[in-house]
Amino acid sequence: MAWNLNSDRPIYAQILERIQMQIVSGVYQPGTKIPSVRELAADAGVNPNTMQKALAELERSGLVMTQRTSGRVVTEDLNMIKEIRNQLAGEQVKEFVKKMKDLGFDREDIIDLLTKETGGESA
Amino acid sequence: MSELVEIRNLTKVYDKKKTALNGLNLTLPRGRIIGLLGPNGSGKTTLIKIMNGLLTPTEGEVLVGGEKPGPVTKAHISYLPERTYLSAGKKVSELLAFFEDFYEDFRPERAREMLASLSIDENAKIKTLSKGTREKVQLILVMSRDADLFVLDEPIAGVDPAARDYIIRTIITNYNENATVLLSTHLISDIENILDEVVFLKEGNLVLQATVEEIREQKGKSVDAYFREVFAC
Amino acid sequence: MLGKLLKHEWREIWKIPAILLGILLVVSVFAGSTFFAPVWDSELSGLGILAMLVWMLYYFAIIGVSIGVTLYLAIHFYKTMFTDEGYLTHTLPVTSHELLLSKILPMMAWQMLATVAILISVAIFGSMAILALHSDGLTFREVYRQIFEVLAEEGFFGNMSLIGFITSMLCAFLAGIVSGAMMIVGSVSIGQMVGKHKVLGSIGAYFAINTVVQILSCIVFVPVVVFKVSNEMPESVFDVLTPCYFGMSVLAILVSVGLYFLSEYLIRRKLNLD
Repeated sequence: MAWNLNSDRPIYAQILERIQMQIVSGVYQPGTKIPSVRELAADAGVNPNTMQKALAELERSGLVMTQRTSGRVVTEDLNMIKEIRNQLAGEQVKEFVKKMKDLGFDREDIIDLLTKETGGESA
Repeated sequence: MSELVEIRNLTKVYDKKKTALNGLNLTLPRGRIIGLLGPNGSGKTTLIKIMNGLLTPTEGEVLVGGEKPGPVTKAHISYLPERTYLSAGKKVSELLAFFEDFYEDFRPERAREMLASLSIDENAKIKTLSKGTREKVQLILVMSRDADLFVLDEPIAGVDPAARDYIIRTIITNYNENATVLLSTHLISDIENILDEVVFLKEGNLVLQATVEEIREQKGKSVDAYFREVFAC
Repeated sequence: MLGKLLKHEWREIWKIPAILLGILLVVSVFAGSTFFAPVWDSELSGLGILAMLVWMLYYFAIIGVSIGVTLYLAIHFYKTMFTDEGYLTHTLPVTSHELLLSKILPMMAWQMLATVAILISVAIFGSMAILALHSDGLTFREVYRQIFEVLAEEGFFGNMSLIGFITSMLCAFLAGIVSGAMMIVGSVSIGQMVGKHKVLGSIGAYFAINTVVQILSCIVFVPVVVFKVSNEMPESVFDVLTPCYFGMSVLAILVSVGLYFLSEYLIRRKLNLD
């Protein structure tokens, strides 16, 4: 399947994250329509009810909205998208830092590594 | 009538000695994708054939929409057997006409669209098509109906991953929201994401009927993993 | 639904029997044309042998066509009802009566067409022989006019017992067509009850039904004939044959009706596809 879902974690959470990601990264632009439940479910190879649930959750958070005429559209509230983006980034950073600490790196080492990785001069 | 399928005390004994179904009781709701799971010889195909009126039960009955298998149920069930039933001498277009004549819920334009997307020539005779293409033609015919119940017997057995994705996609895209899809398989990991519910059969008995969510929450593992545990020899 | 079933059934089966009957007619013209060759007075003895071979071919063509059509219809019935194709046939939203009739009626039509074709073929062969062997320039039309005249002179058309006889033959012919189709349907359906050897079961059932019908006709007709003959000497042979043919027709129809209801019951209540 194109969505590379794995069976260790709940499918519903995985597709939720994936659609969030696509909105944040601009695959689905603010104010544009997203595909129907059926199409998304077929793409992901998941049960339409599961997809429905994930979309309902997105709707509850306000990231997508249902319009009577054109189905579901991505919110035009750029602040909200930005907020979600920051939130996702925060989660990634937390995860990263935790792993680095497990590997025995301290704060200085991590910053150093990050600066190098992103092409800057080390301190 | 809230339940679509009711199975009561269903028993099938072959040749007076081989028990394929052993007093099975089961109900299937509307609007779900249900996996009929079990190892080979667990009675899946026997159950499916009885539902479609191709086998006569030894005891008990199956009701679909409150009716025993007959002309009324057959008008509302779309069935994909595990073998090819298309007569070799017919053209694809003749089969479309055949389905259109007999099944009121058949949507030829939908079938034509799917055939075109796979570049299957409507004027080709079935015998000139490869085995894989024949199976796809059959799937397209079956999924182009607006049936209440789709009964798909081993739709993904023995196909390559690309074909499997195509089949799963076709099923999800075409079934009606109020319809139920019952699909049998022994390859659970391939389809477990599309299921609402599962029915486990073992040696003609019902082992478990549950939603996929229940299994994940209560057992803390995937349906596939749980299945392996239940049927471990 | 019956109309639709009939339409599709006819489309599917008409080709092969039509080709067989076409071949028969070609062979009969070919066989008849041998009479125009100098078969008997030729110095080449090989020509005579060749002509005999052609007539034998014709003879086998007649037998072959009638067996061929019956066998083809039987195999087609078996294939669409009880093999993989049966998975589609029996999941159509039609009643078992509609399904059976859609198979039986075309079968009867082809049995009838085959019989008519054989009659036509014999007529072609016979008239060609007569035309060729009469050197006095007879035409086709002439031959039949003469046959007609001879029959009229013999009082054929006023003869009630002869008319009765012909009617009884016609009845027997029609009943034969009905029972011919029902024998196929009945024996194949009964054969399905035999666990694993369904084809063998069908063939067995065919001969079993045939035997039963033979025995039944003996039981019914032998006393009738004996009684008729012993009571008073019948005026003509027709007085004995006519009731026999009528009786055979009634028996054939009764057996056919019985087989129909038996087959319908088996298909509706005892179907078990492998």
